[in-house]
Amino acid sequence: MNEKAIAVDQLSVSFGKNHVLRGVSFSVAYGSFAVLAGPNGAGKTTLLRCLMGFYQPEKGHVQLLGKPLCHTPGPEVGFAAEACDYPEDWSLKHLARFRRLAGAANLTAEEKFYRLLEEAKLSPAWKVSQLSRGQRSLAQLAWALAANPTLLLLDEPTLGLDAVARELALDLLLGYLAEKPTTVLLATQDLDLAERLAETVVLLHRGRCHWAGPLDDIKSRYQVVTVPRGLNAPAQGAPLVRRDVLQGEQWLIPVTIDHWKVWLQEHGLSARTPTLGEVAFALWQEQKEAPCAS
Amino acid sequence: MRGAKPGTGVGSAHPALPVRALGVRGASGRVGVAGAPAADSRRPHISRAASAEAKGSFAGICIPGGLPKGGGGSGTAQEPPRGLMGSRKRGLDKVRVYYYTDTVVQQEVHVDLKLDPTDPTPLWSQLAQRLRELVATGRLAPGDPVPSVRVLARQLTLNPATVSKALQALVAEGVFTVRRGEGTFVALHPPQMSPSQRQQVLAKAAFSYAVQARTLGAALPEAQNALTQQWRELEKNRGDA
Repeated sequence: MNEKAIAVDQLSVSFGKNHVLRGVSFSVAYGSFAVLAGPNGAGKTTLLRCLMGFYQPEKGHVQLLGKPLCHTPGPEVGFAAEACDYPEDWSLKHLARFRRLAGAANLTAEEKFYRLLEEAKLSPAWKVSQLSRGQRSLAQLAWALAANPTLLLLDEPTLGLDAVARELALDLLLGYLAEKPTTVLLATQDLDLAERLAETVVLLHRGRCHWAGPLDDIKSRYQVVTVPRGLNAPAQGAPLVRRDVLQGEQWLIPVTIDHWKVWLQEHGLSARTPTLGEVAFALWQEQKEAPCAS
Repeated sequence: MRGAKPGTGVGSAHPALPVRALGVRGASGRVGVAGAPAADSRRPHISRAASAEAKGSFAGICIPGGLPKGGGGSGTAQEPPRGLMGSRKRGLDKVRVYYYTDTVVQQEVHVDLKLDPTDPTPLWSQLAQRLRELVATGRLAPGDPVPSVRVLARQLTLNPATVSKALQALVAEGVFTVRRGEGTFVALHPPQMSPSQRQQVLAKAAFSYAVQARTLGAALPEAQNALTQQWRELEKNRGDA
């Protein structure tokens, strides 16, 4: 367990009768890029806030960088929240000064924050209240990266950003990752982006973890096959997703189950690997429990 | 049109430079200068049509090539990092290769990197294969600098770990070489191996091709034809370059 940068074990959180997280378990190895995906209300933000120690878990354990979590972690963990919660009447200069305090008495974190602001095309003189949504996101990302963290927790850093701001945000993030191997847990809805960046995928749905493991593993469990209309699925199961396409129907099928393999061979159909989006759609659409890998 | 000839349009400082033009896409009047200040009279004009194309189509990689070989990688503090062009779009796997000397773009080449999430091959291996193709067709000539992990990752929106794995694989194969402190370059010579070794590698690749041809029901002459044709295609591209 100690070699994992993030280890979450049977984590449950509820607010009153609202059970937001129900026994979530997963782990992320050091230096790995993990994507936390789930539909709206799946519990992504709550999970990240729990990792940051903002909420007391009802049950379960959390370890960050090998240490059990008892309060808000130090500057080695960078966090960018979904909603920017900086005081509105502060300017970015004030934030920089704060970084000097938080950055364990080194000036470099402050300098780095200025450099990142410049890269993000933000002026230190601007007040938080003047910033657009995209600029707030960028400021938060710069703030998180300035302390040279070894673990980054990012909550939808590209949500609602225009093309330019999104590009700047990704530039900041990827530029940082190229310089320093960092463990990242990125919560996002953008599964196309997730597919390009992720090594590990954590799929949440209604407070439960549907999958936690390597991206290639989850993709290799399913296949997309185009079948002519009128062809029946094997008696033992139905395809997870059916979609009408020009040549017939497109099915997403679990190839880990033997009778599907046999069925594919019998009908001589060739299948392709699904995208992460296709798999996630199928899992989230399914109301019943899908197996959790971890 | 296969791009501007050297010495035309941009007021090239080195009119005698060879042009390596390959698969230039669209009306390629567009040239860009990475890092030239706005007041620089040499800054080329970017036509509206060309900028629209840039907005819609390509992520760019600027390969600081040109002459002298391998001398293009070092930027002074005044210059912004080379290889970062203004206008580009993420995630389209298109690469725009600029060959330029100090500030003047010599040539613009578009390369489609075609990274496919529905391909069971991992992304790093797809990227390595595409880069191998660039070398095989001569789009990346021996001695050309290869963009850094940072630049490639940012411009292709890929995890730096993925990019670095692809580059490492190519370095291990001997397609690329690393010069310490300077970066990664295309190797000056094809990978050094003994004839028997080479035969082994070729046999392995040929085997998988033969298997595929037979499963498709192709006859030997048909398969040989296809190989010859592809070979000529590569040669033709090289010739153009």
